[in-house]
Amino acid sequence: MRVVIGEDSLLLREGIARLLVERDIDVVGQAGDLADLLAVVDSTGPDAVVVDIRMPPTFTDEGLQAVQAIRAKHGTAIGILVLSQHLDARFALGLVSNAEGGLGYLMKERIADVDDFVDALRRVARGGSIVDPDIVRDLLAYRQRDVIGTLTDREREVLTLMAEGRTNAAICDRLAIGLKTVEAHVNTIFSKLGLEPAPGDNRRVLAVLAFLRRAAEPEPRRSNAGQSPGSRS
Amino acid sequence: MPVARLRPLLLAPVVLMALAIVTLAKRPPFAEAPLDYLFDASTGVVLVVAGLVTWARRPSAWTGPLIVLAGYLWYVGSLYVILPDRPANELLARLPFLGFALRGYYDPILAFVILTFPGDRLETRRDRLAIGALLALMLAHSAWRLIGVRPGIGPGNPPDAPANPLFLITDTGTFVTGDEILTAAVGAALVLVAVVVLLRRRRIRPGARRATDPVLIGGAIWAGLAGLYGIGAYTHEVLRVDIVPWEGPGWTAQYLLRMLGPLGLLVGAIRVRGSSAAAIALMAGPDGPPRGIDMERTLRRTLDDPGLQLLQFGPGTGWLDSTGRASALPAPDADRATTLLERDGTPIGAIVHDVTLLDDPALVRTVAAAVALAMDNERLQGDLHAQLEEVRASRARIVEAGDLERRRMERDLHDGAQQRLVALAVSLRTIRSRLGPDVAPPVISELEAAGDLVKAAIDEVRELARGLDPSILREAGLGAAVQSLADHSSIPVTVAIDLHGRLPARAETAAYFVAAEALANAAKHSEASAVTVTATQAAGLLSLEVADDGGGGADLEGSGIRGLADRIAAVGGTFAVDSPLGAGTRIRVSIPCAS
Repeated sequence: MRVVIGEDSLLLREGIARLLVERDIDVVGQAGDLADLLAVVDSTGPDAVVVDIRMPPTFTDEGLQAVQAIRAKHGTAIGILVLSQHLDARFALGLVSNAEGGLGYLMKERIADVDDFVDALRRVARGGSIVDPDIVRDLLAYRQRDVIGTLTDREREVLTLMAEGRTNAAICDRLAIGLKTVEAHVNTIFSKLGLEPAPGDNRRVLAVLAFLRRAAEPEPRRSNAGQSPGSRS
Repeated sequence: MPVARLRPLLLAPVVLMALAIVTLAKRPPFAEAPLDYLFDASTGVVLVVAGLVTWARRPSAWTGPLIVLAGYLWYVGSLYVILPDRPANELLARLPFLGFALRGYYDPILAFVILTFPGDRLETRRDRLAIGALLALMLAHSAWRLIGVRPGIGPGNPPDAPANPLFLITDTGTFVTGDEILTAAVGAALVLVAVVVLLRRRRIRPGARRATDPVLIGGAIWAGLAGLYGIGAYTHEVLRVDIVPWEGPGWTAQYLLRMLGPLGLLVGAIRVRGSSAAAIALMAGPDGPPRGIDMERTLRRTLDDPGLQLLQFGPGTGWLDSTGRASALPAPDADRATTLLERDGTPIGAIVHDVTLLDDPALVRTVAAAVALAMDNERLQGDLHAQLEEVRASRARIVEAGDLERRRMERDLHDGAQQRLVALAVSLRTIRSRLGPDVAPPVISELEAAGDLVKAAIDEVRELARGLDPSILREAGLGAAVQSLADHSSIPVTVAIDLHGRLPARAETAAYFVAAEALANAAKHSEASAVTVTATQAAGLLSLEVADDGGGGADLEGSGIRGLADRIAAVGGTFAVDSPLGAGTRIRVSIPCAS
């Protein structure tokens, strides 16, 4: 697998490259800012890009600009893994659940969990959608009061793994349960959440992420009953 | 108040009216010419009323009291009619004689009033000469009568009245001749007064005669008729020629015409431009003194001068008119005069007004002082307002600088410490993978423990950065940011936020930090089991309330709550904490959020 790294911290960039090389991943290019990154991606045509969300010149959302630019030019051929220091569920879901797949949002320190990091990178390169487990956990933990609260513990485990972008087979593996059991759980979860059963792993992940994203929106506005029409300025 | 001081005097017309009625009733020839006596008796009443009105409108001028005095003096010559026919008291018995000697002093007084109205100073040497001549001749006439009248001479002075102790002129013929000459001389002086009154009228611009014309024309007729009858008495007695009618309709008409004098004073007093009382009332509108252009309008109305201009002067701005446009102080000319308004010796403005207003310097002084006071007050209020605005702006700048600093620190943490910590975690992983299989298990577990410590440090730094500057607030707004706070709170938090889209960043930040601090306090100190955060938006105001069900008794002087109060004040909001012991804590803020 051929990978390009976009990260302004030289220390970290070198560290990531070393980790990937040790896992026999081909690091074909490195860049420290947005323009440089796009140039390197264009010239090397990698399978996947690892990009820091904040980079020079403005240190705000260069990672997202990179996603848009690469998508516009290369479609879903290049998987992109966005690294962030913010545990911002709404934002992460907004990024990943809107895409056609091949996008992931990971917390930066996930790099140190090399197996998870490399796994996520490979899945993004294959067109999967990834959301950091911490973010999924955060969402589920604080959303007990709505429909997610009706899920059993095991169903919630399955949902978490689905949201992280795992396939049914990977879920069997993680939870040490049979494939049929996983499929049964998935069906129950979909019916409890009121989602249409979606064929294909990635479509399914996107449906789950879209659901979580809706749940992560702030409460909808209540009705205007009792307010006079002129009272809004 | 001047008007209140006058109240007892308001009874005077009533007393006078009674006096007048008695006069009418007792005069023997009343039934023959009732109209004559009616006009005669009511002239004094009209004078007193005119005097009281003038007095009320210009409490500081002598004009009013002088007219009132003239009204009383009107009756001096006829006071004897209220006496019994043969008074026992010697002084009372001499009253008719004294009245005969001292009658007529209303004339010089009224002449003075007419020549000075509406002010109280004679304007020219000619005026002073005329008044002086009249007064001197009257005094001479009184003196002549005091030393020349014996019982039996003059009205109500019977031959058996007590002897005149001042009696000197024993020859009746001499006395009568002198008396006739002096009567004619006084009459001539009165005609002279009528002439100078008319000359004074000619000095006044035709457009500015509204108030003075009734006084001057009425006054000239009054003085002229009085003078002609004085001269006429002489020609009648000595020359046997009648230059004026002494009976019939002509006689009645002269009474009517003379009434024009007092009536003219009354009309003039009502018409006169402004008054000190009105000038003071002008400064006491329902909302305090009128400002700017309203002040100018009020002055125009009060002073009956539609062309009046009010100018303001400031050291930085120069002269400004009432609409705030740059202007110049007009040079005085024949029609317009300028009165400077000063405060502590420095000019703060000017009134450009009709030159005739200067006829009443007391009024001009009073109005100028009142307007200067009001303008100074307005300026001080403006200064105070500007200073408050400056304080508010500086507080907002301090808060803004603090927010910028927080943002910078947040970025430093993310791009510095946290990056290094992540790199350190990666290094630890690399080291571990390079150690190979032969390493002793304690080393491996030590490395893993180090990795866990680094991860914990990363989490802590992230939380620290989030507290410094919540990126979610900037990116997703107050609702999402408060929901995120609630999600991470250790106590269950109910969030009910009803906002119409994004608010100005200052308002969002202020509200967010209130919610964050209140939730942190609730978690740390209150022992609450539930917290509610509500936010609504109405009429350009964001209202946020954080209420818990804990122990209350929050430290209102603590740095946390004080900091929140300062932050809210900096964005022009209000902040209230209600934290009774044992009954929970409720923090309410209102923040202007009109965008």
